[in-house]
Amino acid sequence: MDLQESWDAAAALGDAVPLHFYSVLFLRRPELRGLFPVVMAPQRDRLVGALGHIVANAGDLQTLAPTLRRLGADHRKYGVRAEHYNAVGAALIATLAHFLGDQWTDELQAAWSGAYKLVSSVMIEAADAEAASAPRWWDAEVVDHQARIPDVGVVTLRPDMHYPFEPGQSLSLTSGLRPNVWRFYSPANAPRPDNSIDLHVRMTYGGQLSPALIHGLRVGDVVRLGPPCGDRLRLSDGPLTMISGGTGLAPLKAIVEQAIAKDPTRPIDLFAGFRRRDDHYDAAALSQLSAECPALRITAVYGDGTPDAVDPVDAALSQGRWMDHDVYVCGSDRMVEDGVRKLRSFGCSRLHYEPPTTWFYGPQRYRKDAS
Amino acid sequence: MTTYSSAGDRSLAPRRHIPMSPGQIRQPNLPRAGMGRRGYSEPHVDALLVRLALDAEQAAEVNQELHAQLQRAKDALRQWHADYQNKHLPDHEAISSDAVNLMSKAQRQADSLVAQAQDYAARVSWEAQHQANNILAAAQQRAEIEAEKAVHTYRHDAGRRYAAEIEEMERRLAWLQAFTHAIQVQLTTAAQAFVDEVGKLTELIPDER
Repeated sequence: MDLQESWDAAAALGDAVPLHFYSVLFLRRPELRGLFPVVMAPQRDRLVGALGHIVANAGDLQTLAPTLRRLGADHRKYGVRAEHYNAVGAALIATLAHFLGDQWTDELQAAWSGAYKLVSSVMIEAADAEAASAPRWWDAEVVDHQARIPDVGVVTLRPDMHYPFEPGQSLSLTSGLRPNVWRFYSPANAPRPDNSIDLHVRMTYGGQLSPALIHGLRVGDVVRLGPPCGDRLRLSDGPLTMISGGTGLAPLKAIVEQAIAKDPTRPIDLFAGFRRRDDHYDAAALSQLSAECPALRITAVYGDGTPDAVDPVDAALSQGRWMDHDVYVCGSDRMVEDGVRKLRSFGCSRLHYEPPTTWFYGPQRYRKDAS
Repeated sequence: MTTYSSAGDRSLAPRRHIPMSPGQIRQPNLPRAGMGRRGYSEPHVDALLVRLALDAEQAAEVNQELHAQLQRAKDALRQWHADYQNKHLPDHEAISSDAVNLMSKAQRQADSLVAQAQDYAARVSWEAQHQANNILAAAQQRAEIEAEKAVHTYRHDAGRRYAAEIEEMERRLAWLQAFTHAIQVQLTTAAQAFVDEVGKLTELIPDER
């Protein structure tokens, strides 16, 4: 039995395996429980996903290293420190030994220990390297909080230190209202002199964090931000076509602001889709923006209220071909996937969009709050 | 507010009100009692006392929290010493399988309860939105009908005094009246349902005692 076979055997036993792992970890090191959220089910899935990915690529550190480095750097914001890695490794080995029973051998233990040592050293190294240039997290005060429509709020934050993001990037956020529950949001503005950031928060019905952000958060409260991430939505040089669904508007609006600041004469077409007419939570801000900048054309597209019925991509394609434009698409996974396919078939090749949220680790976009 | 918590814990601290300063307490700016009576106005003094009691409670709470923080820091330091002097980390300690099972069971229970609550919240929210949309749509429909009726009546009655602007005004007025009325009826029904629910809750209280 090798690494992969032993992992497959354990993974086949399902949720019991990560459940056992965390129980052992927390019984040995109760202080680590406080680094995790109350609800652990999604966490267990993520652990299994990450381990599966690592084991499958264990022989190929070249491929694996970027993921590991990102994992390691990203774990800083959870309060993970180098000395925690030993505890995690020991709990992992105890868990595998428990489930594999007679099949667990000294050789297998040596193989897992070696692999874990390698993986953890890459992660720790990346975390240490990051520590030289960035804080673990930024605390940010809520300076404005507007419930624009029943389901969408615009929250303005002021981080306690300079927050170095590029328009189009995302950030992860947690609040003391739901400890250790992190969700990704995108700043809806280009960096401002006062360092403040607007977030467009859509309430996921039955979600953990977003209802608390909309109904619980008050001006003066403090939330915690992870480092900015994502490099797919970045301003390019050509004429711009922006297509958004719902709060997918946020990162595109940030890029539009950046583009206008650089060159107010560059033509920009923005197609903002909403489920219904009264879902347009940012109408006043958008019309102000377009009044200030004649080169920016904004088209609001409304659906009939059913999710995904609205299609701003269709609206965009009915008004132009955009083949020589840089086309940005942001919204739900489905809207992005369908939209990108459609745009490709119409000859658009300079497409900018984020990967779907299904990957085991990465910015989950706004729709994915329900866990 | 975050005034009292330590910097590291800011986001986790509950909101607090701003306590009165010693200066404000010494010069409380209380109105005098009415004609023929000595001293400060009694209701204002009572309110001040309530306010001061809140401040005292909050101060005690902060004090307790700081003590706990100090204790945690001391414990952490002691733990650090123990860990690094004895080189004995609990990472390989054998744990009884009963303990592991109990822990796993508790976590699974917690996950399932929260999932159930989330699911319920999601369903209630969707239903509420659906209902709200229906009420709005019905009210709009009702208003359209009434508006058409009003136009019809106006045309019939106006004869040679007919004016397009007045017709439009009649139309809008009727639309608004019907729309408001329809929404009002729905609100009254909802309010009555709410009162009924509250009534049911108060009926439950004696049994609880």
